[in-house]
Amino acid sequence: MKKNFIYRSGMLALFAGVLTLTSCDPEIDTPNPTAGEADFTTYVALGNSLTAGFTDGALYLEGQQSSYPSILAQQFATVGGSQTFKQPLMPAGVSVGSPVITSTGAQVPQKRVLKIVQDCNGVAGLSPVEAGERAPYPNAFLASAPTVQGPYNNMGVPGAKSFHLLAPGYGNPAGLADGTANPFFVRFASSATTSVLADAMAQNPTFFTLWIGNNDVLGYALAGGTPAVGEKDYPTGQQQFAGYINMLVTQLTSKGAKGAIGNIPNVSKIPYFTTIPYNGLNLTAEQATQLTAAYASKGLTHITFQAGANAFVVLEDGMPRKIKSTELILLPASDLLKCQQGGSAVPLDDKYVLSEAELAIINEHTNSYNAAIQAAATAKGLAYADFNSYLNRVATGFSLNGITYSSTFVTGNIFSLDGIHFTQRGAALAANEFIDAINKTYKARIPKVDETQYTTVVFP
Amino acid sequence: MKSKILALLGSTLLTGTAMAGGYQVNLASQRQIGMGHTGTGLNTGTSSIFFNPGAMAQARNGITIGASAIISKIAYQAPESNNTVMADNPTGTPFQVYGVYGITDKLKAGLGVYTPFGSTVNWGNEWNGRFGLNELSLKAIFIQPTLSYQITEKLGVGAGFVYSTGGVNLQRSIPLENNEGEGRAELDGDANGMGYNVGIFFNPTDKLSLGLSYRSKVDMEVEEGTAEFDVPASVAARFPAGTTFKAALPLPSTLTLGIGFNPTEKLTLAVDISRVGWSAYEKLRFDYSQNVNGSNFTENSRNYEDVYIYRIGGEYKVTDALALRAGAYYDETPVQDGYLTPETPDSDSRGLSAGIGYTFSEKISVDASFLYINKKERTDASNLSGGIAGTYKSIAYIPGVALNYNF
Repeated sequence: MKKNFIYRSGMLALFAGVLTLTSCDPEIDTPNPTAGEADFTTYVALGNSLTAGFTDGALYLEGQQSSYPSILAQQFATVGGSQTFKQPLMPAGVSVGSPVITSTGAQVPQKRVLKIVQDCNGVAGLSPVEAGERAPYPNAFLASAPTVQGPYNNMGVPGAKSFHLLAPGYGNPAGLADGTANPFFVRFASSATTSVLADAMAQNPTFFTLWIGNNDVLGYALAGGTPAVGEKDYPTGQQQFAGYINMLVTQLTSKGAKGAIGNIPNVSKIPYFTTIPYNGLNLTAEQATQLTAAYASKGLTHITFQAGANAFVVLEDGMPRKIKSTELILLPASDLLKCQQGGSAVPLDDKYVLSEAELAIINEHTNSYNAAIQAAATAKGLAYADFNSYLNRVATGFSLNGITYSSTFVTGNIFSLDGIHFTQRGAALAANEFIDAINKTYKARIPKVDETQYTTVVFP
Repeated sequence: MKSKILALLGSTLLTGTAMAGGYQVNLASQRQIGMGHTGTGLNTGTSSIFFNPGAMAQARNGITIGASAIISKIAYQAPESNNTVMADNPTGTPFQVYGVYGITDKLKAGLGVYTPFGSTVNWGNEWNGRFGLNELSLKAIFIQPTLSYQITEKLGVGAGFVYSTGGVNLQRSIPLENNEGEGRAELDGDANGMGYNVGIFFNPTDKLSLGLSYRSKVDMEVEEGTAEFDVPASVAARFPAGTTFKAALPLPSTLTLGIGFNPTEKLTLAVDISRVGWSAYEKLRFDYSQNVNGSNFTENSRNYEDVYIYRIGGEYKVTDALALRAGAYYDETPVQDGYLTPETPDSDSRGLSAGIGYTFSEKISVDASFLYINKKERTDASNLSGGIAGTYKSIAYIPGVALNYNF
């Protein structure tokens, strides 16, 4: 009897105890999220392809859904930001890249995917390839009207330079022919006469991010520092750039909005320019002798080769020479180098190479733009996200949550298959850079996003 | 009979979630858990096999069977986030079986089977640290035949040989994804090792007893574990099928000095100070039979440091049958700053215990215990161990019960 009682009450107490205790979880004391001195009620993002969520060489739904402004909006929502963040979303399954001019007319490439394909030598391997046939321009854009109604919080326009954001008619379909309009803005401009900035201001933003300027110098870099005559791909003038940035920031803050502004990374930290090594020409002793003799026979005795690794031969300003270790070869040269004796018997064309002189121009403009951006941020008390420093850190490589990040093409986890734009993971990390700057400037505590929830390069 | 019970326990029970420092599980006797897990300076009966083989010579013939349930909870927050992740740990059930038999009045033989190390932590495959760890299960069952001899009325010595058997299972995500999701790795292997447990027990007066015990380090070695990888087909050649691995995990030594004091017949007080040789755990290394993603090994620094555990406990005999117990301890963490990992998100821990013992007859008694462990909240950059940076906080509730049969 007594035993039974002790046993029963004991078991009952144990059972009750276990029940109570299992519901009692440890807690971690962290300060609550707060907006600090900023107001995130209406957030508008202005910028270029990075802002639009352009990735893998194209604009498409999944990239847009993981654009850094979309991720920021989701984090802002924890400190009073709106639950809705509208973007000019692409229809599912459709992707549009930047139009390219070919001999048969302008075409629109699709996004790139990683596939096992035969390269120009017939060797099978993993390679980024366009997911499908290119569509004729501008039809592809006509078939990709936004699936949600505006006004749009994300005003990122792929290809936009600083002054484009100020330009009326930048979304006018009639301007496509003469290049005064941009098909990516034509998709979602509120009218033919509006500008990106006007559409942004019409929403009365309480908070904005502005990340512009990359294309002001990137176009020059993508052209190998040798834009075709009459093309507009020379870097934007330094003083003009400062003027445009000031006009943008002055208007954006004219109604009391707070904001964050990002500077631009140096192109020499981007895989499009760093993947091909300057000395990737590997020769046998015999090949080296033959090549040296071939160049000597043309009177080019300064171009010699040796067994092992050699610098590629490039044609800069009409003169063949060996490329210097500080100079860069652009990613699209890879097939020429691999299969058409490019860089060896056939000097690599100027447009595939950034020479020291060209890099000096790029650096000068990048530094000058960034000085203007920082000055504008300081003058208006804006958060300043230093993406130039961030991309330097990426180039060095770092580890986060057990994953290694670097600027390595395909496997570095930051850059997508176009070698220029971020992966979705890369966009999440960029959002966290913005959050760092905003928290610091506005004494806010916006939680960081878990970047691991966003994808990197998808393997077959 | 005994072998059947052992087989049953071994096959059905898991060893515990590590709730002492590192992956040590100090739950060797429900009576002693009630007293803050002191006991090296006491005659603790059959559990002297664990606490101090030198005191076993004074134990009565008997068998003890006991087990605890570790209900552990670990919370995690990434740096500058507001999202708390809870590890979904299964309830750990460390157990022990001790048997003591007197060969002569002075010479006793004993066998102990107990689980002084182990860890089961399950973070799942969605949290931000999943490329560090999804799930880890570490088991070690010690089997310890022991002899103890009473040299004089006041002095006893004892020694036991330890054979340890167990295994390790580690699962983590691989940061390579295809349309179906992320890759995964699972390492699984049986491990075993050997060591010893020696002690000396001295009771100069009726009121005072002293004990010194040393449980040696045991190197648990996995000779041929299996390493399985699930990765996108295009990179599968880098993660070859049929890969095996070798690994070694040290279970550290423990040197304990214990003092027992009986101010009255009804009251027993005890103090233990242990030094745990965690510095033996320098790194976690897996050597693969072939290259995995370009390398035939992985290695992460651990660089644990030796620590002390301070324990105090008491027992009060309310009646001849009923005993009440209470105790507390402070267990320093062996994990240095920068080395915190999600496998063992350890920090200095505080334990509070209570217990009850009831003697039904000359032959049969039961002990029940309850231990609450609270580890200090700890924020670490985990930049030296390949761990996952953030803030961790652990607590555990550990009820336990044991049955003693004397003959």
